[in-house]
Amino acid sequence: MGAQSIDYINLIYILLFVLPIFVLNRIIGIKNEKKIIVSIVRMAIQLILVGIYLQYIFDLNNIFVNIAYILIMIGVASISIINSSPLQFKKVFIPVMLSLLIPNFIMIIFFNAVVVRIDFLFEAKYMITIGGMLLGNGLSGNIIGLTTFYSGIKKNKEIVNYDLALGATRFEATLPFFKEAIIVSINPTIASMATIGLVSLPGMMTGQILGGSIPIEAIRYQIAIMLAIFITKYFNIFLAIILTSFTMFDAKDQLKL
Amino acid sequence: MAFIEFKNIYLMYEDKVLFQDFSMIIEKGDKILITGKSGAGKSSLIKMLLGFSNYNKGSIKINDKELKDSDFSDIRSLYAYVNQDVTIRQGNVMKFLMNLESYKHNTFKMEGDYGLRDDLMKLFEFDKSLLYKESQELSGGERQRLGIIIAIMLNKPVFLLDEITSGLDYELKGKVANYFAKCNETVISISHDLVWKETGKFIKVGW
Repeated sequence: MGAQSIDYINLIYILLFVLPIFVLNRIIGIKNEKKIIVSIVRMAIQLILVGIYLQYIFDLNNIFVNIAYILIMIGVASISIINSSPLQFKKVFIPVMLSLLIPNFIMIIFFNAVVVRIDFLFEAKYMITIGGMLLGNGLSGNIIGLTTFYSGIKKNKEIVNYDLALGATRFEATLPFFKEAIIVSINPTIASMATIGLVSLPGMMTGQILGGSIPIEAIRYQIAIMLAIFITKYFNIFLAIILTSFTMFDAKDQLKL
Repeated sequence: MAFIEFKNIYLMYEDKVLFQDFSMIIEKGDKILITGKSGAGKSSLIKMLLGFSNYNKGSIKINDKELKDSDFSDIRSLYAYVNQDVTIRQGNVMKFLMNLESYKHNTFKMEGDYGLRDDLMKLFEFDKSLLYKESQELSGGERQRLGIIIAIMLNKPVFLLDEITSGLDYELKGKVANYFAKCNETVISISHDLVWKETGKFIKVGW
């Protein structure tokens, strides 16, 4: 039993509802038709391509291909994190990559082995989908965490230096900014755990129910994935700040930014 | 043996040469008063010692040993620093003081119920009630006095003082300058206030 399948022609019907948006935008003077069209076309093309090659990868289900796929996702996520933060690419690419790689790989393997209990731990269907969800959340967490930490220190250089001059190590002097960065970046996840199910049904659960799972089964998956997201994201941020700080400060404990 | 030595320092800041072939030797117990017009790099001199400012050429030696970049973190434990604005991190003052005690390079112990030494608070007219305030609520003059008391309590061999009397009234300026004139430690003080010179203990350096 699976979800009722959707034909491409059915997608065209829902696309018709975009037209009134163009009309209304015209009336209130927002000129972004081009942007909307480009975005919709990009979405469609990207997802069709993903659909095609995911099918291919799932059929192939080769351990090396699957790992390579995750590595590429991590690489792309790292680039995207650095570009959205004030950090210099050359200095932090490897630390940021490791901050995603280490927690995510451990979690994926643990999730597949202990929670889902599948025999082939690198099973494409699980590894790539679960890995993608973890990575998407780690990405936003790392952007917020790194930006909060380094902007805070840059803006408050005198405060940090005063602490250093009063006997603090670099870790002691920057600890308030570390705390702030962790809180700001992990709080949205804590809040969403508290309201999930009340306010919205998560996409993964919706997908599973439409795909034929009974709700109580879908819920167990959702609980597991929420916990996995929270834990992985926390360690992503923690590691990202610790690892980048080795290359972002000079020997005299001054931020190079 | 020289205690602190600047040797042939060359420092540029935004196209401006602040130090050219600058050398100075400071012995243990010396009291140095640095005066000079603003923008002349006086603060940079202290910041170079702390490792907060890099120099383009030359070297700094402590006990005749030339400092490498990686030495500065540890060498900071020699200094008790007070800057003009006393940039204390946000939060409760008392909490900040308790925190200081836990820093790796510090060995002093907070004293009494209030953390700070009563005799110092009395001498520099620092009211105990201020300890319960948030750091950002303190006035400029209150922060300067707090910074001075902290520096003394840290019990380090060298005082680095950057314009620490600018926000104080005349009587307090005198008390502060006299305290540092009489202490046994090495003192490097940057100030425009005449009271420092009037103590008669400071060697004046200017450029």
